Amino acid sequence: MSNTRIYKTIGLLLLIGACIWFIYMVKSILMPFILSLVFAYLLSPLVGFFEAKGLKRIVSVLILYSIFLVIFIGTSIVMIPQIFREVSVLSNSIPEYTATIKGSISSFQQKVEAKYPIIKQKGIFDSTIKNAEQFVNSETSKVPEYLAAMVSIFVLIPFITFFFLLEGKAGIDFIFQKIPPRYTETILSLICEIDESLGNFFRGQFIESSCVGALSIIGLLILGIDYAVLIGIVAGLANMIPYLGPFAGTVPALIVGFIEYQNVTVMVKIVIMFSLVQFIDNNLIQPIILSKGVNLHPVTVIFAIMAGAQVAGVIGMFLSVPLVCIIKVTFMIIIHRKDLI
Amino acid sequence: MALKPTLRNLFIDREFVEKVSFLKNIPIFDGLSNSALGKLTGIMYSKKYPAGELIFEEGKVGKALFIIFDGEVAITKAAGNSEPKIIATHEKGAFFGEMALLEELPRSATAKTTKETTLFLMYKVKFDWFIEKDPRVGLKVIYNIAKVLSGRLRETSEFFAKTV
Repeated sequence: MSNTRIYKTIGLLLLIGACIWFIYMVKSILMPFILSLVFAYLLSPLVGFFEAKGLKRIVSVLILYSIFLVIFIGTSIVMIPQIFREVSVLSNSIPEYTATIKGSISSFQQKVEAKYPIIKQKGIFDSTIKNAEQFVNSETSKVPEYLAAMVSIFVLIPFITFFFLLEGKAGIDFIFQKIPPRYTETILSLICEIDESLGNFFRGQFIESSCVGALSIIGLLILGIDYAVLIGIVAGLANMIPYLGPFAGTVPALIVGFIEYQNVTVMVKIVIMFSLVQFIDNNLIQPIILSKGVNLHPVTVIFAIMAGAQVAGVIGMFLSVPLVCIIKVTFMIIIHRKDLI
Repeated sequence: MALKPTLRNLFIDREFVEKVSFLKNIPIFDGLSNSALGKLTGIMYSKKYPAGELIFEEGKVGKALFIIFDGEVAITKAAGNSEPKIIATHEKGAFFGEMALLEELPRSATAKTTKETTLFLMYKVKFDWFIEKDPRVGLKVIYNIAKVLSGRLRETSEFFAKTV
């Protein structure tokens, strides 16, 4: 290897290292940008639909944003009062729920301690309850902080997405023009294949989660569970996380159901209802939308989700699976397409 | 009266209109409406190639169809140990590599630009997706490709008949 080539390789490695270090340093502010990128990617086919009618890109993006604004306002008129009502009832009911839970735990504690006095002697229950209280108190105090972060993200995301949608195509075209001509056919073919797999995956996930959310809301309303809309939205969002999502959606419903009715029958009904939703999802919705084009091993998914949570919290959990999909699709294409190597 | 063209300029993408009217004259898009051509532009990429640049090589797997928007392309074929032989020269409006839309097999010839050239590329993977989304237009394009291939086969047969 010539000296120039060695210097170039070292320079390239240093540059990659510097980029990774920079991304790591600014990771706390990256989230709105990453989410905007995902949204821009999901919305680009809709912009393409208007562009195919001959409209300029800026006009197409503005039409899309206007449609979303109308849908958002329409949904807000219908849903927001209900959500606010549920949130305000929930916040008013928290002391009552806390008292109920404390009462239940206390009677359970008395029964257990009466049967096994050693538990009382060691103070196991008291220390566990104390720790749980401390945890809940510390997390509750962070709620305004979380809400402020959420609001800033929700304001920033549409703004950044707008520019990604508007300028994204020109940016991609610029990169495309920079690809050495003799590799254009191969590299672009690889990108097209990744785009196809991921596009189907993202769009499928979005449709699937919307269906699961809507079905959960209907089911919870039929069962007469409070906060049906809130729990349904959580269930729909959680469904985007494979394997763990459906459980994460069921737990809030079980807690609310238990507090509200204090009997096991309702909890069994909730479990049956969520199982039914999952059955419909697995056997009717998924085959129609064919969203499971990228099959990942359950262990890979769980590892990815945990790693995502470790690196970037809840958002990391949502983004980890698509990221693993990108890596898997790229490797699969490279391995199966020997002409690429 | 002057409002209409002004509004048109404000909303309509002139580059897109130019692209659609260009594609209208390409035989494989024969009989397609403006709306169908508009949809097809969504799965096409354009790229500028300098003069003398290799576009694809004989023996490498083909993945895309190429349409010459501007410039000139020479198609050559290896001839044993001697210099590759130019078997065709294509100019603006011509297309080549259409077999790649049907099957991913090694290219039967090499394509090289002879001038600075702008090409439209249509990938098989995108075209397959397009056929699923819009089978009517997809079928029409495939039918047109079949017609072009049939014409070329007939020409080759006649050429052989004459030489034999």
